[in-house]
Amino acid sequence: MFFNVSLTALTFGVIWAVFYLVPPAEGLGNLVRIAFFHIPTAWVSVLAFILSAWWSIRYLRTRKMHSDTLSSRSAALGFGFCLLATISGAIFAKLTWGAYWNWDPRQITIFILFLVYGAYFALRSAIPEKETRARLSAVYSLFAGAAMPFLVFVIPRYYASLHPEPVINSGGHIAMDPIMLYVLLAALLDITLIFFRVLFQRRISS
Amino acid sequence: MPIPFFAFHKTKAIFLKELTCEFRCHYGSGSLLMFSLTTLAAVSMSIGSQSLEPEFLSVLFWIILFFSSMAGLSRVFLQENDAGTLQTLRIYAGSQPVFFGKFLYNLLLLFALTTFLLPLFVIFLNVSLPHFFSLCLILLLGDVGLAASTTLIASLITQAQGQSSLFTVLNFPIILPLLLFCIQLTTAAFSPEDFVIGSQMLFLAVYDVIILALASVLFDYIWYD
Repeated sequence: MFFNVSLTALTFGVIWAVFYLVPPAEGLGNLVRIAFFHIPTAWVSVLAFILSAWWSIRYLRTRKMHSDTLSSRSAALGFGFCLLATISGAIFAKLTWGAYWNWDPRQITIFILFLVYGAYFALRSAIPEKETRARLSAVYSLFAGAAMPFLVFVIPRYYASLHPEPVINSGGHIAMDPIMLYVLLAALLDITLIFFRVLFQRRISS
Repeated sequence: MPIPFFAFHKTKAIFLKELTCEFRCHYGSGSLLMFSLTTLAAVSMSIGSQSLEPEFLSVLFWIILFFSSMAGLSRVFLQENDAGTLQTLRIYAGSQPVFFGKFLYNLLLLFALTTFLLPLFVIFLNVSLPHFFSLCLILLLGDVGLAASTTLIASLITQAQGQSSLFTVLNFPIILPLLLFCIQLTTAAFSPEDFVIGSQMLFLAVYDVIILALASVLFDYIWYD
């Protein structure tokens, strides 16, 4: 209960901060506010993917249905966050670059992430037997996980990108206004907590 | 009795068994080659006598190769499942010989497909090949990755419903990085400028190794219930 209340308070606090505290950015103006929604959702969709793979390993090791439930739930949530990140990114792209979609490397990456999630759910729905489904979808989730580092780190190096430099960039320094940085960190924390809140929302039957 | 990690004679036996089956009924290779021929003919007819840029040629080549392999390579496990011989295979060998036997067979099929497709592609679409050996290396690396992924996914879908459509859906995200790199490299190999074997080739090789190693490890969990 206390957690729910503080999470709601944090969410409203972050929304207030994004609209009233953050100064308009140089060159982007008020559009920069989308980033405070886009970056956390994109981060959570990758986090959900990694956690889903982690619980897949747990399932293959222990064969407890609990791990499979968490893995598929994490994937489902990741899919939702992935959708939110893509839509917010596409709107930002339209307003700054002039097109919703132009196969930027980041868009390729997120698109393949969509395909992986889609394939994962297609596989799950095609296997009626519960334990077989858990085992085979765990295998697929791990197999697809192998492609992820390539998508995230390798492909962007070979295609010219319009995507702004990630906040955690290769130089290791953070080029951001301090207020923006604190609000961004708060937004990241908020969305991550929302993700975990929904993920563990009920006692999971094992 | 401990099972040796690599039982080469069993791998060989399974590979030879697949070849024997193939020589008897030509099911896999027949559909594979005909599919690629049909696609290539359709593409070539609609293009006519225009000459295409290397970018388009490499995209066409890999699309034909990818979808042809999707049409034929799921057979390695599906046929065992249909014939009811999967259990016998389980008794005969552990996971690794089965995986590598089937992988080698799929790889051979893909090599056959590639050697069949490339000359026809050159003839029909009037392609010049200035960097033939580099192209062969690219095709080799692409085929290894395709074979590794298709073998694992084929074994995954034996217990699922709607197998053949699921096969393409499950393969695509895993093959896509490979496909993007192969297309870029093939474009370079088709164009007359100097071809440098660069870091992209290295990434292709690394990706192959990762896919193959991971498929081999994960196959244990599919093979042993």
